[in-house]
Amino acid sequence: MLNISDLRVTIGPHTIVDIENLSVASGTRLGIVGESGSGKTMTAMSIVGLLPDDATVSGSIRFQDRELVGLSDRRMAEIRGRDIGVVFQDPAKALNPMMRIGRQVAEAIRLHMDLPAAKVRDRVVELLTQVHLPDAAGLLRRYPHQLSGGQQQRVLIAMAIACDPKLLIADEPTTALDVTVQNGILDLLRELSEARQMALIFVSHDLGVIQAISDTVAVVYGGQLVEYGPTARVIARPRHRYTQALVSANPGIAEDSQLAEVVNRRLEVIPGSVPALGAFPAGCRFRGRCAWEVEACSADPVVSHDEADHFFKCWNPTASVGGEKGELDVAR
Amino acid sequence: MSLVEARGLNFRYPSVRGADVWTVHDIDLAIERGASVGIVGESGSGKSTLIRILCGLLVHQEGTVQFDGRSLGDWLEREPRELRRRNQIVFQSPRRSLDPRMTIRKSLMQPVLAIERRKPGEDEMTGWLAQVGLSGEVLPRYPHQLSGGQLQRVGVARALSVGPEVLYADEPTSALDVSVQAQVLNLLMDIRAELGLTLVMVSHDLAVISRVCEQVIVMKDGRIVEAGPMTEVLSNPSEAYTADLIKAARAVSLIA
Repeated sequence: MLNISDLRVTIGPHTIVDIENLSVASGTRLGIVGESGSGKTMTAMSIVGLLPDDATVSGSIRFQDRELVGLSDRRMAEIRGRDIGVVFQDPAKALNPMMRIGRQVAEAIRLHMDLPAAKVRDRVVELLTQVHLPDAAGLLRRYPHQLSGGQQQRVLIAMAIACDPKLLIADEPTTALDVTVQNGILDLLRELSEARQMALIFVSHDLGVIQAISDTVAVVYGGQLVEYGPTARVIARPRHRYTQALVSANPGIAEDSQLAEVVNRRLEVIPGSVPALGAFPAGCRFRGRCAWEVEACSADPVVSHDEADHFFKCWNPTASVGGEKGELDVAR
Repeated sequence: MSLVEARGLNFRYPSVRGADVWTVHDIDLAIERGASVGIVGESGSGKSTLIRILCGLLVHQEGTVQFDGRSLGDWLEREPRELRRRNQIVFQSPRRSLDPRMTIRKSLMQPVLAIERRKPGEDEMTGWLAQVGLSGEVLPRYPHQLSGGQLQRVGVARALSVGPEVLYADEPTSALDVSVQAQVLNLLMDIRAELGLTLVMVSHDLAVISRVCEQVIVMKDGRIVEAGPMTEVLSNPSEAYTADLIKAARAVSLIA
């Protein structure tokens, strides 16, 4: 349903996204994971044309049977909100604080659908009920500040699904929320994607959240896809050293018997920080922060396959199940 | 005797009407010297308010709070600066807790200026930064020129500059990426071990608490619903609410 090929997003001399191939089938859920500055949000937002004014996009993004790259702002605005819904990170900032909830949700419908005014109200109540907000009718007259963060995010999801989009892009939608509230939002997104056969692209820095929501994961670093595969498999057996580092840095709650052992034990960290735009090294972009660097890493990594649906781009990957280093064994 | 003790503590913000609407209600707790205590609960459970009372930033209306055997009221009346020197706090958003118009140098010297009434030397400040893994190069910079992780390190360095005994940390990593979170959690564990600090950390994320704190306090609606050694509370919670929090945290935990 969505096919990205040779996508390049550049700002001035800097390439911020460089993705050869990425596709999403209807009803499936893709997680895009990486640190701040890795290019994950830019990758997702390039699909709906929400990029900085000075960004240039080349390559192809095919959505259903349309080409999105090169669309005018006006044509893109028609698709965004109607065929592709978007949910952002900070719900308090995404809602207009001066507008009642009912009017804000109605606006999302009126922009794209030709419904008589009386029907619009019913549709708003229906949508608010579908995102499991209690007393939907009573909510219409409320202002955003009267809602909790989790409720605000549900309102935004209601707006995003107002026109039955085939694809929903959610950019860190739970990062500003408590763990308990976060799980409620994850459950809701999973339920909506299953019930409506709606594809979901979920962007997060947290592999724990990605594990809970997505079937497939794309690990992004330096604007490039460094590993891709079924989420459970990639997390259990990461092949790229960057993915491995992301898994190790995640605190998680240990098994009961391990709790005493892990408390006060230092977490594994990824050394240094994500380089600034234009400061990534040539060859493997993770070079310089990677504990497993070898000479070969100064050349551009090529794609290796673990399984047909699991690939990675690393010159010195972790051992595969059979103990081999993948098809390209250049480790020394 | 415990280093920090609260008995029958009640607190409400002045704007909250009604005599029985307490933000923090009926709190009894004791924190031993050198302990690491995690306070966990959802938004609005009163956990941040509680640590602000314990470190003397907010004044409670009812009950008693003692630090090192003396009531907080007594400390604040007679030796407020000494109370501040011995109790420091690191806030959630490193960007919002530093003045954007002040250089790091100027922000960093404020506690020593206010508490010790002297201006710290350049070498001294470089030493504080080294303790948190930063170089003196950040001194002339402004907050917007630093990353979130670097700013949180500055926040920790600033808190340590006056040599506190208790370090309070209010969601110190929730504004940070997982990879940067790991660095800041390691820093907190390292400095606690190195300086023999008492660490009291607030978080909505039990996974974070489980890695850093030996004791845990669970709060809900302004009250403590459960408290005890972390391993016992997590492996055998006595309250359904605690069990819910554990379940929620496990749902987004990677199985290591």
